[in-house]
Order: sequence, then structure tokens, then C-alpha cells
Amino acid sequence: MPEEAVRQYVADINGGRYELHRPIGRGGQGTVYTCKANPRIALKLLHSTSEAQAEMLRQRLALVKRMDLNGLPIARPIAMLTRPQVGYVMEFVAGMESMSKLVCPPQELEGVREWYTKSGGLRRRLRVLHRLAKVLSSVHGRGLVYGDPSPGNVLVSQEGDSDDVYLIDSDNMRYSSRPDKAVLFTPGYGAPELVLGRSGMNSLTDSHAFAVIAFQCIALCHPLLGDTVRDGPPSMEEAALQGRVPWIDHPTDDRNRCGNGIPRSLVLSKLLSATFERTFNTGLGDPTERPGMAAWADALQTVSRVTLVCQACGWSYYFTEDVCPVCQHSRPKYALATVGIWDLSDTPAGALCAGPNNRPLIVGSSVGTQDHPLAMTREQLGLPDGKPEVALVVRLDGVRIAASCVAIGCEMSVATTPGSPVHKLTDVPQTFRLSNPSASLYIHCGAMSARHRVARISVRGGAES
Amino acid sequence: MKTATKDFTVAKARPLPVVVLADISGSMSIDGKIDALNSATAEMIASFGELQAERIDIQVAVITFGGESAALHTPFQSAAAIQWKPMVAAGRTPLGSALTLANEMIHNRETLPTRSYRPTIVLVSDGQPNDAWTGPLEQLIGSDRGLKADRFALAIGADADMTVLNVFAGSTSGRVLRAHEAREIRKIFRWVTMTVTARTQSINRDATNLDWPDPGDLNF
Repeated sequence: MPEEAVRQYVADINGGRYELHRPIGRGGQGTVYTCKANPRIALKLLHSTSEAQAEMLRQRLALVKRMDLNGLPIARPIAMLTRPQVGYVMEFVAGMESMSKLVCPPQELEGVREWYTKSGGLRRRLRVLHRLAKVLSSVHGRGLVYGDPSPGNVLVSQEGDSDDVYLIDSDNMRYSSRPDKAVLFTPGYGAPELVLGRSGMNSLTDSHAFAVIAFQCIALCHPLLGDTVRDGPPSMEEAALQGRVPWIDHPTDDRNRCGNGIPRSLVLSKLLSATFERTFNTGLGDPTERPGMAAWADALQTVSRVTLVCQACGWSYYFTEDVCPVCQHSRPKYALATVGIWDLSDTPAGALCAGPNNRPLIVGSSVGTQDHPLAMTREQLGLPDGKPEVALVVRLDGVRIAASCVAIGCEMSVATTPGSPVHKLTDVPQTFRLSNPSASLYIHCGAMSARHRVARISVRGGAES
Repeated sequence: MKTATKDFTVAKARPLPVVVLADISGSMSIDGKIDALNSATAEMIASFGELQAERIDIQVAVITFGGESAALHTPFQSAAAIQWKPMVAAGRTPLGSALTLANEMIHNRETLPTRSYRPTIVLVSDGQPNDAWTGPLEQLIGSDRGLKADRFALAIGADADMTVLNVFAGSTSGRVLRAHEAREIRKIFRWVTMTVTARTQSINRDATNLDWPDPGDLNF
């Protein structure tokens, strides 16, 4: 005789009463349920095996509830649940799924490449990771530590186009200034010093976890678990996660090579390779060598905007490749934007800042194609934060380009030679013809009387450079 | 497994074996005990199946002991792939033959290669075994993989044989979980599920995972 479904209710301290609907995530520490009556909230119930532990959890949640997480896509306690429950009401965002789905293909899958491409490929993964890096960087900037980053704690939009992220587990957040003896991590993501019990959770352990998530997401293999470790007994895996074995892409030590996943030459740019190398080589044993979240956010900002999507097979790759590395189809025509700085300190008329080799300094770049127009964000163009994030859109239109400024209140003007703008950009696209294939347009993003950024737009056709 | 020449491969997950040794003797058919055990086991298997751990694959096997001998009710397979068939209770309590079967299964290197995690074995019983069990039990808990296994014993009702269950659970844990009535079986299985899944999720160094709870205290 099957048991009847029991309706379960919980109450919060403000008198709200909620009926638990379905469990949507069971973590080691608790379960998240959707709420029958209100689809915009979810209820997190933490497991406790004694009253003492329950009380400790309540105190910790009360601390998290008071943290300043305004403006960050992190689900935090809105209202605590009343005794005997330990848990809280949190905001729930529909239309999102676990990031675990990007990090590993379903068990019985045929066709890993097709799955990777269908779930957004390199392009989407880099953008999602960029977003996640910015959130964690902001958390650290506020003197907080996330604690236990793992793909299971991150939700990503179900729509392939959006790169929104939402962090659903704020239970373990803490102030970086108040070291906590408690050590918590998800197996595979804990920094070696956490696993060995030598350190508590801090911004550098967050960075290690992020780097593992990023590597797995991009290359579909774990940076510390090579073939020998995977085929060996669990004790070898323990040793690898304690940092006692070189990482899979160590430049000289090949004891831990990995034949699985996507060849890194297909998916990692030089900058990403170098950042991973610092994290998993010297940074494995020495946390201070690890790139912090701000460094990751910067690196990902650049690489996430310089991929092209192959028109034949959908694979995304860095624009510096002449042909699609997977199907060899020729590279589509693309617009390349490189961002420089217009500086007035040396000459009153202003000039582009020079870089180390006396050529104009480039502080960012982006590419766009016919199918995926070039879109530059406020951040890239040095404009104040605001919505929408995209500030400048450049579309390829046959032999012309159409540019529009979609950032309200921001001044943008177009010039064919830097420093002499002739057209003001509005949100209505204006078309410009480049006089010859190697000509560029310069878009000044700010008043000419002040320091500002300049986006240089050029068009490269097909496989010619 | 490569399918096309240009396709990529991903590493296979490491098996985490969970074996349930279920008493399906005649006494389990009264007071709703076998129904509760069926629900609890099905729920546990479903929870394991829902986990999306990229590196860990929880594989469950269920061995029943009732009638005249033990039977392999569910052979080892990924939890997500299991279609649960309810167990039916009748007959005697041949625990010894279940322990022998369990011992063989956990040492089978084809189904559980060297790379597997140590097994979790859950023994559930409501009465006295009536076959030779001391030998098989000693062999199991003294064996290579049996020694390293996480062993849980669940006593249902007042007639369960505490001696057997205590020996099975071992001196490290010391105590046996008790379900005084059928309702508590589900709660205890949820606790076992949580303990196993905790190995795939957040590890809290300070929590004593094997803090044996009183079912009345379990808050979930």
C-alpha cells in the first residue's frame, strides 16, 4: 500500500506559511524545494542531526542574511524558517539549470562534440565563466568569501543566448576577516590546502575552485586527474587532489597526462593557458601564486569576446585561427574591434596611448560576424555601469558596417582618422563604408576634451588576414 | 567511448557501490514493514540517480534473504538505470547465504574494478537468522573490501537480533540504527542516502558523519 503524499508546510519568522512542492536540489547539507503557491521563491531546508548542530546552523545563516549582497546574483536568505526547521526562504529564478550540465555530458551520451556545440560551445562557456568570475570577484571585493564554489552551486540560463548566472548556495559564505575553523569543500574543487586541513576557506581557495570549474567547463576534464589517476584506486585520486601529483598539462612533468576531454590547443588561448598554468603548477602548493578572481575576470573578459562561430559546424574558436579547427571550413568575414586609450596628457589635441613597442596600446578586443554582431560592453569601453550592458553594436552589412550606440547618455562619435570625429552615433544604426579593405573606423567613447577609450573597428574578410 | 573519429571522450565516473541486504522473511509482511522498506529503498535509489556528480557513479545492488536462500534482487548498476521491482516477503531468514553472496559480489573485479570507491553495505533485518551466519559474517567483515566498507545495520522492531547486527556494524561505529516501527524505516534510509551522497558533495571536516542519530531527532 503506497504511502499517501504528505503535505509538508514550513513557516518563516514573519508569519509566512509555505507548502513544499518538489525537491530541486539535494546537497550534502540540505535540500531546496520549490514552493507550491509562489513560484518566485524556494525553500532551503538544512539537515541537522542534533539540536546543537541546528542552533549552530541557524546562527551561521543569520550572519549570512546580514551580508551585503545587493546587486549580486546570489540567493541569500530572505526570511529564516521557524523551529524546528533549520532553513530559509530564498529567491528562486525560473528558466535556469545547474552549471553541472555544461561541465559534463550526460552519462550514456554518443557524440560529445555535438553535445558541446549544442550547449553553446566555447563561446557560451567563456561568457558564462566571465560572469561567474565577476560575481566572485565582487564578493571578494566586499570582504566576503563564497566558500564552496562548485558547478552544483551555480545556475545558468537555460536559453543558449544568455550568459546569466545565479549562485544558489550562500550558506557557507563568510567574512574573510573572521577566520572560521570550519573547513568545507566539494570533492574535486577543494584547494589542496583545504583538503589537507592546513587552511580555512578564503579568497584563494575560492579561486582554486573557480579555476577547476573553468577548466572542466572548457576542456571537459579535471585539471588534476589524469589517466593513471582515474584508472587507479581511490587513494591515487586522494593524493592528486591533495596536490601531490603534477597537473595534467604540466609543461615538463608528464606523469599525470590526460587523454580525455578536448585537446587544449582547440579551446585555450595563450592567456588562458598561462593563467591555468599559474594556478595548477606553482599555485597548487603555494596559494599566493594563484591568480585571484580579479585576474580571472580580466582574462575572461578578453577571451570571451574573441571567438567566432563556424558557419558549417557550429564550433566556436578563436578568431586567430584561419579555418575552423574541427571541420576546416573557412573562417567567416568578421569585424574586429581593438580598444585603445585616447589620452590628453602629452598633447592638447590628444593621441592614442602607446604601448610597450610604441604601437597603440590595446586594452581589450572583440570580434563579431554577420550571425553574431560585434557587441561591446560598457566595461570594455570604459563607460559607467548601467543597463543594458552592451553599449556599442557593429553589424556587418555587405561591404559596409552599421554602428549604433545603445548606451543612453553616453557620447560616441565616429572618425576615419583617430582624433577627428565627424559623426555622432545614436541608437539608430548608421552605415559607413570603409574606403579600402585595410581601413578602420575609430569610435571615440566619450567627450574629446577628456580621457576616454577608442574602439578601432576593422573588417577582415574570410581567410585572408 | 569513441563513436566518430573526430569525437572527444570524457573519463568514466568512478563507481561507488552500495549494497542493500534486505530481510524479506515472512515476519516482514506484517505491520507494513516490507512496504515501508520497498518505498525507502526505491526513494534512496531515485535520490542517487538524481545526483549529477561527474566523477562518481553510485551503483546499487540489492540482495534479499527470505524463503530458503538469498537472491540477487537487483544486480549492480548505476542508480539512474534501475527500474525498481518491489520485494515480496515470505519464508525464513537465510542471512548467511546473503552475506556470502554479498562477499562475492563486492570482490568481483569485473563489476567493481580497482578504481571503485569502497562499498557501503546496509543490512536490514527484523528477526533472527536461521542459517549458519557466523562464518559468512566473519569472512565478509574480515575480507579485503568488506573491512574497508562503510557498514550500516538497521534493526526493525523488537525481535531483531542485536548480536548479529552489532557484529556486522563493527566496533568503529558501535551502534545499530533502530526503527521501532515501519514509519521510521524511510527516515533512516534518508539519513543513509544523505551520508552516502555527502561523499559526493560538500565535505565538512568538522562534522562527524557517522554520528548515529535517534530517528526522532532526524530533522528532514
